[in-house]
Amino acid sequence: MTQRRKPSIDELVAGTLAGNLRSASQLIRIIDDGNPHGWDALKRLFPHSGSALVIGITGPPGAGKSTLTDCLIQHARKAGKTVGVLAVDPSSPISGGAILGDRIRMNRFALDEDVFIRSLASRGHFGGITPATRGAIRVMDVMGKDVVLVETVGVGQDEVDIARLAHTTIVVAVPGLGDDIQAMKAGILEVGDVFVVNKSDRPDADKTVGYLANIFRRVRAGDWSPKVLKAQALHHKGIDDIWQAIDEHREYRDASGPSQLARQRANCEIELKAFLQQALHHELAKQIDANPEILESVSSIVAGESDIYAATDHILRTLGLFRENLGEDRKTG
Amino acid sequence: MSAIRVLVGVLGMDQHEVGAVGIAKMLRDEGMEVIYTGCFNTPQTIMQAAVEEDADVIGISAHSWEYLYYAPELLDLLRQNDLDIPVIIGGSVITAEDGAKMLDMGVAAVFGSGSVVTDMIDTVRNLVASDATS
Repeated sequence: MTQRRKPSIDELVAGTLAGNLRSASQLIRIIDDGNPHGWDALKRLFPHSGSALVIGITGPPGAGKSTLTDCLIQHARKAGKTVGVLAVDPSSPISGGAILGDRIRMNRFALDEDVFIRSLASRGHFGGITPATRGAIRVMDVMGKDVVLVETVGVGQDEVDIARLAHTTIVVAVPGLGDDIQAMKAGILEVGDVFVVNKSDRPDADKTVGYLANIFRRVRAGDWSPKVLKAQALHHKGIDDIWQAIDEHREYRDASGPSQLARQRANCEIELKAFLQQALHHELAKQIDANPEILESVSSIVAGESDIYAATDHILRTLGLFRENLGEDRKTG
Repeated sequence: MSAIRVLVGVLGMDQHEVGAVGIAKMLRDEGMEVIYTGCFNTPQTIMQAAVEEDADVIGISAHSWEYLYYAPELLDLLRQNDLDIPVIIGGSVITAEDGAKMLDMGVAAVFGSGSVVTDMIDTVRNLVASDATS
């Protein structure tokens, strides 16, 4: 086959800043693969980022997240905005492979050059998004997308990462999904800014809306009161109300100055910690790859001469990654 | 951590999806990330999706004659846009003669009925590997 010249990171960064789709797409791949060059690129993109409106769409599998995302793209396009979409689907825990099928629901934008849809596989990450999602948002932001929609994997109750990187988090629910006890549980119900009861032509839609509205009246008094809305994404009903809620949420965020700064600080701290962990994880994996003898204690563990905890201590010390004897600390415990 | 990314789709009005879904699952079980675009694609939409998804390989499932018409168009489009993404075509309707024609035109591999699963997987891996070293 003919040669495909691999562009340099400089070229990809320049291309992304110029809004070039291919550069941005290749850069997202490098970030997704945890390639250190991606890190370098993000350093250079960072000062140019921060202008896109980031909206998270989360909720259980089958609630209609992709279809709703499709509706939100349509609405944004009608308003003349350019759109980036990051759609996360689960990786197989067994093979590591994945089938990424969210873009089928957004086929109408297949040829719209102002809509960039990228599928991401969760790659073993829990929390509904992927370690690369933040970086991918930054790439789309920098390349000039006005709105970035992030659709999480189908989530249960505690996959809340999306709320930390989206300006507004939409939780998509469906009628009859769990009773009021379910609805009281901690997790996504605490981080959603707008709740959409989708497929609202089904029986019990009003009941579900009522349950959610009750919860937020009690839990969130004084703060932003999450909106609970009905929609039928398949029939494009209720979408205007959702955008209005997104706008209202933005006004609320802009108006509450001091708490906005506090929120920014909190989110920044979380992002820094997450990236630090990622970097350490990456470094550790690299060291193990380069020095497989690090794991030689496996045989002594299997032989009963050592144990996993002692071996971990030993390995961390060998790598110079702290963990002194705890010694006196126990007394205060 | 990286994975081979394969775009799998069906062209034109062909709506025989079972083969494409089967292949998608097969590749997933080999640790690949499959971007599944379903039916009713055109050469343009396939190309656009391949760029947006940074696909390493494009797999077209063909169970009607339409691939004879659309596959050459897809190859032309990729060439015109300077995209060197190998295209594999598979499907029950591909005769030996048509398969040979496709290969002549620049399709990277053709798999007719009775193809061996391991051959298909190896072909994808080899195409990606040869690209990485080129």
